[in-house]
Amino acid sequence: MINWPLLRWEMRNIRWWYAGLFIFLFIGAFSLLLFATTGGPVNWGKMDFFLFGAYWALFGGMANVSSKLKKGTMAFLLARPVSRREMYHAMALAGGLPIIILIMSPVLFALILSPWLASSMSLGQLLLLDVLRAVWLTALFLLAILTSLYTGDYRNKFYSILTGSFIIAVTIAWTTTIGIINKRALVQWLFQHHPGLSLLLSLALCCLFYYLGRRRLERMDIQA
Amino acid sequence: MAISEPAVLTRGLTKTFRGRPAVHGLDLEVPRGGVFALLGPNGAGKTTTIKLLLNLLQPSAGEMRVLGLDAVADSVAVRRRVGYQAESQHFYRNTGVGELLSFCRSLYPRWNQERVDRYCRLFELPARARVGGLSKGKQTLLALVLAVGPEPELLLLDEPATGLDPLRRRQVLKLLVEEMSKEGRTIIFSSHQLQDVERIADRVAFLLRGGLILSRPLEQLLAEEKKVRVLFPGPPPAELEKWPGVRRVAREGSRLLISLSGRLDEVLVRLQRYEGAAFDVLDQTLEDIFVEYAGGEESVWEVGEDD
Amino acid sequence: MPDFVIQTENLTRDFSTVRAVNEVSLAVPPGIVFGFLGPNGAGKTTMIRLLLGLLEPTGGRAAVLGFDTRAQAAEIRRRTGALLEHPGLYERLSAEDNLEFYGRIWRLPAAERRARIKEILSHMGLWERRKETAGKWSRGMKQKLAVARVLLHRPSLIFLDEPTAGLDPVAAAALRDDLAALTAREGVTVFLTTHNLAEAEKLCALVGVISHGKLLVSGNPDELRARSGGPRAEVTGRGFSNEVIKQLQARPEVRAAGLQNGRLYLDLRRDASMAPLVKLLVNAGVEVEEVHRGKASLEEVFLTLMEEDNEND
Repeated sequence: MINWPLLRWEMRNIRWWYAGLFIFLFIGAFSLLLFATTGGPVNWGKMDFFLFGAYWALFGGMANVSSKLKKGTMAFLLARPVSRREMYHAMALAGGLPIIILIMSPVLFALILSPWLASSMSLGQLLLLDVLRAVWLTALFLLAILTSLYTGDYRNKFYSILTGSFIIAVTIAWTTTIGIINKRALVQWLFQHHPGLSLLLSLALCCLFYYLGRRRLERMDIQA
Repeated sequence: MAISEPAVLTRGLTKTFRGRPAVHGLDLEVPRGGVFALLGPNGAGKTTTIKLLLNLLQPSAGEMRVLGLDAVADSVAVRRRVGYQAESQHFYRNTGVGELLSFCRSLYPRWNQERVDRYCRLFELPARARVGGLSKGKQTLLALVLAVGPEPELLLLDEPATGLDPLRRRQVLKLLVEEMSKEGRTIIFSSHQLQDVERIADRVAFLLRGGLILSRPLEQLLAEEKKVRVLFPGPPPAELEKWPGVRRVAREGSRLLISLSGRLDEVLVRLQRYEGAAFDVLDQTLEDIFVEYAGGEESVWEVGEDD
Repeated sequence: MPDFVIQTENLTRDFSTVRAVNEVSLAVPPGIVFGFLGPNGAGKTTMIRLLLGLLEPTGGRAAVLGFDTRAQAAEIRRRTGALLEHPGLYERLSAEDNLEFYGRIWRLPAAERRARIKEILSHMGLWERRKETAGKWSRGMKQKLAVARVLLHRPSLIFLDEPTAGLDPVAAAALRDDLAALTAREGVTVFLTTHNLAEAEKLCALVGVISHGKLLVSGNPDELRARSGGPRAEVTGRGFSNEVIKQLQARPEVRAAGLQNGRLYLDLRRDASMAPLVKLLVNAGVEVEEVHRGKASLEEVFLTLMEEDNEND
């Protein structure tokens, strides 16, 4: 299922993208520290630097896939003893793992810094929020890969427009849910009333996009 | 997995791109061992066929077996035993030659590092050079090194010598014939350099519009494909075109040019019956034969794969 | 019109550690096809870039159409056409629209543009198919269209970097014929690089061979063939044994001997006589059917030059 040399290679090839991720992580941690030392209440729903990092991850993942398709490096790999499923897993893991790490990192920081922090949320709530975010982002990341698989070989315009608008819609829905727009009401709705349901929904979406992306790659003609 | 199974066997192999067939009902059989040349005009389906065998493209219909394995279901197992050089090279441009080689090495169960090193030296491919900084010809050579590294039983080479200068081209041909072929590996290659094909191929196959026109040992092909130039004293026999072996009759001034596919002796016997008919037999090079088969209708084939 | 379309004196270009073009002095007279030959990575593409003024020379000077490449690159580019690695066609546009687009770039007036497009497409036999999308054409036809694009603004010099690479023999021959006819008719000078030396032999009035950035020789292909490489002989027959070949290789007048496709190929020294060799063959029991002697091909000349060059290194 996982081809380790390939995964190492994939991670090595996007190391600059990782470097970008770590910059966001660093800025996020730094601002947290700043909050901690000034002693003000920290709103975990609004850790925008981590969020920017997540967007960076998202677009990086898309660029990774579509550039692979356009430059034909996918053909290079798939002419070697690498199955398409292994290829897909390597792409998803190399791109998706850092997203999860990035999103989970506030929890880590919170754990470390909890003695000094006066948070607006309990640790349990915070953890749930982070898991939720990570699952959401992974779903979005998988959707991004799926979209890139359609748009990267630029043959199927209909699908690319469809998935493109879908991803925008999902992103808007997600940002309203978790952070930027009208945050309070929706966050409350999610966390106080239906946390389990929203987690399940995100997991379901995750699985769906994973499956669709894998199926698409397995049936695709590798050109160039 | 019978060893006697041919290196490649396709039955009714078809691939359409948005309704346009690039390969159409292809029945190809490549025996094990030896050098097999795929010929045909641009867009005849050579590249598509090679990519289908590697499962880079999904067949629209038909079956293929490579080295005794199902080329779709067991594709990874097939690719473990096949070396492939693409027509144009797409590498990770920012990696070093050495890094790319060791990555590829890690993907295969077997790898002949001694040979890889030797050819890197011969082709002047320094391990520290950046792949993207290599000239086009050097990238082609690197692709060849990557293809022979895993000790493949079958080599699929898509125009291996395009863009190479004569010196390098000879080195490449020598590598193929004196190492790869001698070690019993099967080589399938497509080429427009018909002198090269004449020099190294044991068998040739002609593809035209996605179908196989002929597949024959090269020597047999050169022996069978002849032209006879005849000057009849009177009107030529009416049913000349229906004589055995006659493929085409063309007019060349006052004389007729008969293209034959085998049965030369029979035709000569018949011609001798016409009193006063003067004729001579013309040998043909592979290029003549190529033009004969492919060039009949101007160079206006539609493309399948390369658009 | 200057005496030479291209004239360089000790033209040199360095990249960080490599000298890509090394003191090349070259003169190309107008109206001919000049073949620029050399192994991969010898500096051919760099040379074209220098001549087009796309790269600044490290040393020496070059004049193209009488203009200096350093100071007057824009003048040079206005009067030349170049077909480098990519054909430069828009795959989604029709053939006619592609040329129309380039005609506008070159600021040809509408009437002239139309007349020129018609002239050039008809000459290449593409006029009937001008409305078709270029992307759907075969590679040979695309390449023809690319040549049409290069010639569109009536340049007096064109650069073609391996125009027939990757084309099948029929398409390559068709392109060659069109190229020869068009350039002869319009008096265009062609600077051509190719690895197909048979093609260079057919097309070029003058060739230059470059290796490791240095111009090794330049001259008429016939001259070059006469100058280097001894005559070759080809013997058809039956019964060649390894022993006979060894005996032949031991003879002083034989440089190399080998079998290919059942024929014996001999590489002879200058002024070698064939008669004693045939006698040797017959005595060894070979049934000789035919002996064919020929001059060295340009390809052999090229290979000899490369060998000498490598020995000198």
